[in-house]
Order: sequence, then C-alpha cells, then structure tokens
Amino acid sequence: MFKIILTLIFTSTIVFSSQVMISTKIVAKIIYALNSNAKIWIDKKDNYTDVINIDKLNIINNCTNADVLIVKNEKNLINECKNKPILVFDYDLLYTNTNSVAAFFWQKGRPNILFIKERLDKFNITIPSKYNSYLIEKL
Amino acid sequence: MFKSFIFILTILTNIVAQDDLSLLLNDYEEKSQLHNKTKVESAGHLIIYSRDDLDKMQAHTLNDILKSTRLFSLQETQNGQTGLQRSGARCTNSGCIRLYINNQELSSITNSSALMIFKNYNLALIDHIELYIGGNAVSFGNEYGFITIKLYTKTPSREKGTLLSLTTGSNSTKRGEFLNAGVLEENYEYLIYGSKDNNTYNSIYNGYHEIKRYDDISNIYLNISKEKDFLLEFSQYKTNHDALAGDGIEKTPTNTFEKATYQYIALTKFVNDFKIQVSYAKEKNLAQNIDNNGIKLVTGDIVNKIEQEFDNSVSKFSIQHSSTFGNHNLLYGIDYQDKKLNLTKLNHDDIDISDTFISDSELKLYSIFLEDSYNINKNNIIIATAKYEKYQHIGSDKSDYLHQLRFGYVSIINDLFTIKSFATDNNIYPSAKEFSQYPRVIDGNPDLKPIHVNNYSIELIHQRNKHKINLMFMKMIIQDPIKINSSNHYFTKENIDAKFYDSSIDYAYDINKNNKIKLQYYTTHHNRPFDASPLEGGFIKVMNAYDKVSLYNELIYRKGYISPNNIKIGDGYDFTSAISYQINKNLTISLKGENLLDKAIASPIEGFGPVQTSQKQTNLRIEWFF
Repeated sequence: MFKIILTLIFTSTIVFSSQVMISTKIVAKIIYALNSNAKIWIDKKDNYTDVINIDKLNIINNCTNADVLIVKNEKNLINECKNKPILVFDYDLLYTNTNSVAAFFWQKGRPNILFIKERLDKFNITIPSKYNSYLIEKL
Repeated sequence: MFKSFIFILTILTNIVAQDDLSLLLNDYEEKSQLHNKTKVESAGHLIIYSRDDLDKMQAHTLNDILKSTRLFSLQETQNGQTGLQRSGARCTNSGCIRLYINNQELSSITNSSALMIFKNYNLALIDHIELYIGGNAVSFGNEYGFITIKLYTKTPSREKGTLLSLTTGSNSTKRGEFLNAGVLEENYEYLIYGSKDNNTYNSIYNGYHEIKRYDDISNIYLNISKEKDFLLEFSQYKTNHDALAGDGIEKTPTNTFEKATYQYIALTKFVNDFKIQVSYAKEKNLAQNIDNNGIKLVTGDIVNKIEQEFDNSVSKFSIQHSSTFGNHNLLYGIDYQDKKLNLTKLNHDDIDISDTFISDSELKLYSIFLEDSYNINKNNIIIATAKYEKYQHIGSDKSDYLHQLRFGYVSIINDLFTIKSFATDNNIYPSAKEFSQYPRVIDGNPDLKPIHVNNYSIELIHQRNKHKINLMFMKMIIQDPIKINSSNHYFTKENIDAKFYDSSIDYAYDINKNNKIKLQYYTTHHNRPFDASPLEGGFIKVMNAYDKVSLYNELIYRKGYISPNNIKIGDGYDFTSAISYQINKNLTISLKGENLLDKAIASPIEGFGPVQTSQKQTNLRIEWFF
C-alpha cells in the first residue's frame, strides 16, 4: 500500500533511489579504474547513505588492508592508513589531501569526476585511457 | 546541406564516442536535477525549466523564460509595467500571477502584479523554475493564482565556489553579478548573491517628444540553510524604470518613473512532518508622473505632476503538516497574512493632498486548508482540496469569506500515457489598488466584490523514448471580472461570464543531453467582444552543444490582434540566438541576440499605438567561476 503512495506522490523518493544507484555505479567504476580488484575502506558509513549504496561495494572494516579509501573527513583516518590512495566527494578535500587521487563531486551545479595524474603516479596507478578526459596533471 | 550533414555526423560521432562513465555521469546529472525533488505534479499543469535548460537557453532574466509561456504573452502597460497577459484577456489583478522564490511569495500590495517589480529578476542565483498553470495548489500559498511561478535558488553544496559575471551590450546594457556559495561546519550551507543592472533602451517618440526608456535594478540575496532542517533568507531588490506613456492627456511625460524597493526576511523550518514558515516583507514604491500638457484626474481636475509613495509591509505565518493514512495522503495547514498599506506621500503639483486618501490601512487574511490525495490504485490518484479564507479589513471592519476548491485526477494509463485533469473553483480578491480611493487617473472602488473563477482542464502526456507530447485543453470562466469604467474612470465589476477555451500542444525531442528540440502551439477562443491580448502563439526552441560550444535558437510567435482601445497589433516574431564558448574550466564567454527581427509582440499603448516593448538587443557576457 505504501508503495502505491510512493509511486504517485513521492516520485522524488524514487528518483532519489535511482540517483543513489547511479552514483554507486560511478563510484564502482572510478575505483575499478584505480584498482580492478580493490578492497575498499570507508570512513563513517552513515555519512554515505545519501550518496552511495555501500552494500554494493567491496567494503572492508580494516583500513590497513584496504587498497583504496573513501573519505569524507580526514580526521577519521588513522595514521597507518594515511598513505593510501583516496577517493573523495569534495573538491576542497581533493585540494587539501595530497593522497586523494580521484574525486566525484558537485561544483557549479554539475557532478564532476577528476583523476590527478601526479598523485596517481605516486601510487603507481594507471587509469584506462578511455578516462583520460577526466585526468588532469595536477591541482 | 553538406554543412548540415557534417554537423549531424559530428553529433552522432560525439554520442558514440562517449565512454561508460560519461553516460553514467549524464544520467546521474539528469536524475539528480533539483526539480525532481521540488516539483509537485498534482499541483497543476507543469512546465519545468531545469538548471540545464536555463544554462542552454542562456536565460539571464525572468523575462527570458516567461515570454514563451504557453497561454501567456509578455506585454507592457501604459505605465511601463510588465504584465503577463493570459491569452485573450488583460489581467489587472495579482490573481493572475503568483511569484515565489523558494517558499517566499514576492507580492506587491501597491502594484497589481509582482512582475511589475520583478520582471527582470536575474537568474544567476536560480537553479530551476517551475510554472504551474490552472491548478492553484494550496501548498504553495494562500491566495489564488492562475499561473504560479516558482523560482528555486541554487543549492550551495552543489555550487561550492564563486561566480563573477559581466554583461555588456547594445542599448547600453551593463550588468554585474556576484555569487558565492559553500558549505560551513556542521553542514550549514550559505549562498550570497548580488547584482547590478543598468539598461538604457531605445527612446520612443510622441511626435517630437522623446520618452527615454530605462530600467535599473540592484539585487542582494542571502540565505543560510541546513538540509531537512531550515532555510533562512534575506533579500533586497531595487528597481527604477521609466513609466512609458504615463498618465498625461497628451502622453508627453517628462521625468516620469516608478521606483520600488522590496525587502524580506523569511524562515522556513522543518520539524518532523511539519513545515513552518515565517516572513516579513517591506515594499516601498514611489511613482512620479509629470506631463506639462496636463494629467486629467477622475475628479475632472487637471494637474501637471503627481507623486505618490507607499511604504507597505506583509507579515506571514504558515504551518502545514502531511501525513499518510492508508491510501490517503493528507496535507493540511493554516496561513496568516497581515498586509499593511501605508501612504507616505501624495502630492499634486507639489501640494500635499494625502488627506484625500481613503483606504483601509490593513488587511488580514486567515486561511485553513486540507488536501487529500487518495490513491485508488497503483496508477490512479484523486486529489481533493478545500480552502476557507477570511479577509478582514482593519478600518472599515469589513470581512469577506471565500473558498477555494480543487478536484484533480491523475492517471498513469500505461508506460506511454499519463492524464492529468483538474477542476477548480476559486475567488480572486480585489487588490489594495482597486479598493483605495484618492484623486488619480483611474480611481478605486471600495465596493468591489471578489471575482469568481472556474477552471476545467485536462492534459494528456505521451512519452516514448526521447519524444514527449503534451496535449492540453482548458476552459476558464471568470464571473464578473473587474474592469475600468471607460466613462467615469474607476474600477468596477462587469456583470458577465467571460469564457475562455484554450488548446495547446507541446512536443519535445531530446536527441541526447546536448541536443534538444521543443515545439509549441496554443490557441484560445472566448466569448468576449474584443481581444485584450494575443489568442494564438507558439515557439520553436533548438538547443545544441558540442564540446565547448553551446548554441541556442528560439523563435516565439504571438498572433496579432486589435486591442479594446482599437490599436492594431501585428503578429509577433521574437527570435533569439545565442552562442557560448567555454574558454577553460573557469571562464565562459557568451553572445546573445534577443528579438533580432525586432518583431516581438508589441503592446497597445494609448497615444502611441503599438509599441515594441521587447527590445532588440545583443549582449556579450563573460562568466568566471572559481
């Protein structure tokens, strides 16, 4: 019954869930481009419910064993994990955290994807050439 | 032909060349567009201008959007005020248009329509626009509007940066804009916007008498918000424009203008399923009319100069709650408005005559509403709305009790077809301008009664792949509309039923994200002995983008007519062409030509005949985002 009401009135909820589904696919592709077999660690899972569906990603609980980190707040990073490639969702964090190799963020009303070559090189990561349009030398 | 072929081939190559991430990103952008969150399909016949549309159209002012609205024509009044005229009619009351920024209604007590102040509202701070025709949803506000225009500001968390833009153009247009938006600690978001416009248009001439045309605007807007928690807004909007032909007998105005300052502070707070809104708005209006050949007043006296200034205010409070019971979704709430009309200056030939002003100083509006959306089954919904209003005059102790009723039906027939239909029974309350009395050219009438409006409409929406067709039919009956008595020059009621029958068709073909075509045609029939605005119209809009170049072309048609004051208005063809080039990720340059054929629909101005009020102009804009 509740689904019916959702269908006709709260169409925004439906749109929102498909939005999360697509952004999860985007994040999965970014991470796959960084490491095709990546184990992912994510800080504070609750912070991501509006952005991605973390159940669809290969998330592990211990960041020391992770290949790629997804971080919203640097303060959540322990020292042992501070030297790993990071995917961020914020341009400011991309700017300040020099281990952030990729970003998926909103700016000027549009979603953007960026890979930073200088930082990818630091971790010996080469992304597929089809994503070169998202690649910039450095910030 | 060869060039066209190469162009199409280039587009197709571009589509094929898109990688999987690009396609996902485009899809994500489309699904994430904010109108998906804010639109209310059941609120009326909906036209959306998304962020992407506004960018592609290079729409910089509200006029750029409104001029192509189905069933409406943008025309000016005798005093240089912009009116959005309902097809076939000439609207003198705020009941025609309701204008909102987020949840705050921009209304004008002194003027009959908010557009008379906000016609050129800059869109650099606006994310998207929703237009609702014929529905009159109660959730938006507590007074009737045949068309509701909702502007939504940009979301700071999606902007995160600073925008600076400079525009210069023919007609001495100069515009500077600044926007800064970002996210603070604890997810508080802020948006700051400021703009300054100076537009000097081509003068018009009455014989050898020159009337200078101009429009100066400044706008400051600030908001701070937290998602799902609150939105606090502050705005100050100032405008100063010429008053076109003015009110003189010979239509030879000098130094004749209208100035307005509109300020508001508004808070929207969300508590559980409650939405609470509190706002306070101040509207200051100064109108000066000078005509050395005399201005004839309703009393028969002739003066050379009229000055009037109002300093009005509107306080609002509303609370609404939504809840679900079985198949019913209930929305109910209360609204309260306190409108204060305060005359601060009334001079004739520099002599104070403010003691002749007769009007109630305050109008209080109380309303209570309930809307029930009942889901018959998965694909059919019925919407029933009732609102009860009390208009209480402070001064004359007069009160009027009105109702607004609405019945809607939305049916998703299958994946391809949707039907929306509405029947509404509404009342439009006369404005303070229409009620108040003092020696002027057209006087008010305190005995005016509300106008009764019935509206019946049905819309069929067909969507298949990239094609979308909307067919809409509407019947509108206006009982006893307010008109100007031509012999005694005061507002009066006409004891008639004015009936309007509208049909429209819209077709949109989204070839892909960057290439779109939109077509529209509408026609209106009515039972009135004259046409007060165009009865037919339509447009062609073509949007193209390739790599860093975006192109936009638009042709708007409005059929000519003979106005009630016997002025022949020719067919209108308003052609706009725009190109923008993204120099780098921070810098964009754009060139836009408006009304390039100089044949946009004219306005019937007494003493002049048809006057081309939509200017032919070309603007160059540089936009820097960092």
